[in-house]
Amino acid sequence: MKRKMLIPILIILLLITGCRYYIIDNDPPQIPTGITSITGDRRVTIYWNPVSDKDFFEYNVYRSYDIEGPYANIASVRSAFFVDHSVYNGVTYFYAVTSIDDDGNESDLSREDVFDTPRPAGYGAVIWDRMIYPYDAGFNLAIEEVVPYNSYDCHFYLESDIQIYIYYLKTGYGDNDIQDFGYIDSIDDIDYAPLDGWSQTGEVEAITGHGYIIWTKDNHFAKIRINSIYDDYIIFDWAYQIDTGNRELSMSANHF
Amino acid sequence: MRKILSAIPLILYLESDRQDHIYYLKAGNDDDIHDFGYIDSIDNIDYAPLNGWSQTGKVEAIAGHGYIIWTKDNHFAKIRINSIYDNHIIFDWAYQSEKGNSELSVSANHF
Repeated sequence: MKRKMLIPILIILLLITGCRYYIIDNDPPQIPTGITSITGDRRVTIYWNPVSDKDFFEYNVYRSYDIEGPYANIASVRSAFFVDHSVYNGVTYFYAVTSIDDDGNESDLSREDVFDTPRPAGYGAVIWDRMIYPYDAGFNLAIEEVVPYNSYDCHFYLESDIQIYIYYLKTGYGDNDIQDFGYIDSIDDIDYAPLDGWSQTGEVEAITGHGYIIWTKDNHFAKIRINSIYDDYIIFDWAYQIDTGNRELSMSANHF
Repeated sequence: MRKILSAIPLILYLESDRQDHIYYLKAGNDDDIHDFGYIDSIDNIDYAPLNGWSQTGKVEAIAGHGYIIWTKDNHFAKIRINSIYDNHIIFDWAYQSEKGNSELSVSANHF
């Protein structure tokens, strides 16, 4: 008896499920836009505008050593940003992003050409007044160390006018250049070194909150920001571009 | 917009180090000056900062650099040096006539 009832039920179920049809989605989701990179020390952060497709699933992040590619998939993420830690300072990387939907359809690569060159940075560095502590007055950005103000390796140093308690940043031995960038809230406010505008005197007044750009004699660009000035020393943040001749120094869109 | 600097008395003036042919902008008594860095256009300066003024009242005059002035009667102004010649400079400038208003550009005027 039970068996007789089971057969019609199975037939009904078969009819119901058999009549259901599926739409095959072959449409890729939107191509991500607004790709932007933030330069870091052995780190590049990429972020973009989220796509609005209802069937969005995730993004693929691609990277290349050349603008023309080939681009390799380095990550899949759900959020509209990615931090690339597998980078070397001084190497330029090109990035692109795709979006993927629930059915596995993938958009084309994002069309903006975005590149970034991570560089070393330091925070809370200290140099001293060369009138009092000449061996601790200079700084070398490449080796990230305090050096004597008159050494060949010195990129810049601190010197005071003791009579009026004014401090100056002066470029070190050789053909280093410096320029004042004005008052900034953070060292990240300096994104590119300009080609022009360098001081002819090689010295600028040291002012708390000001940013400064350095162009070293071996064609590297760097930036510093003075956080504090005390009686005989200053505290500053810095970042140094190890890629020769590359003026990129911080967060930027890096769009062509 | 272009004007010979010496035509603006009392606020700032141009002075040279004749030996090295270096020029400086000097703020007048109790006026303040601030090197804003290299800019493409005077329009790149939209606000005067509250901090960061020179203690010496003297900045090196560099072609392409912008400078912000805070006058002793509490007006803000900006200049950009376009060219430096043997004994004069050419610059653009703008002056905020409203006392204490640090806005300096033709911008969106957001509050």
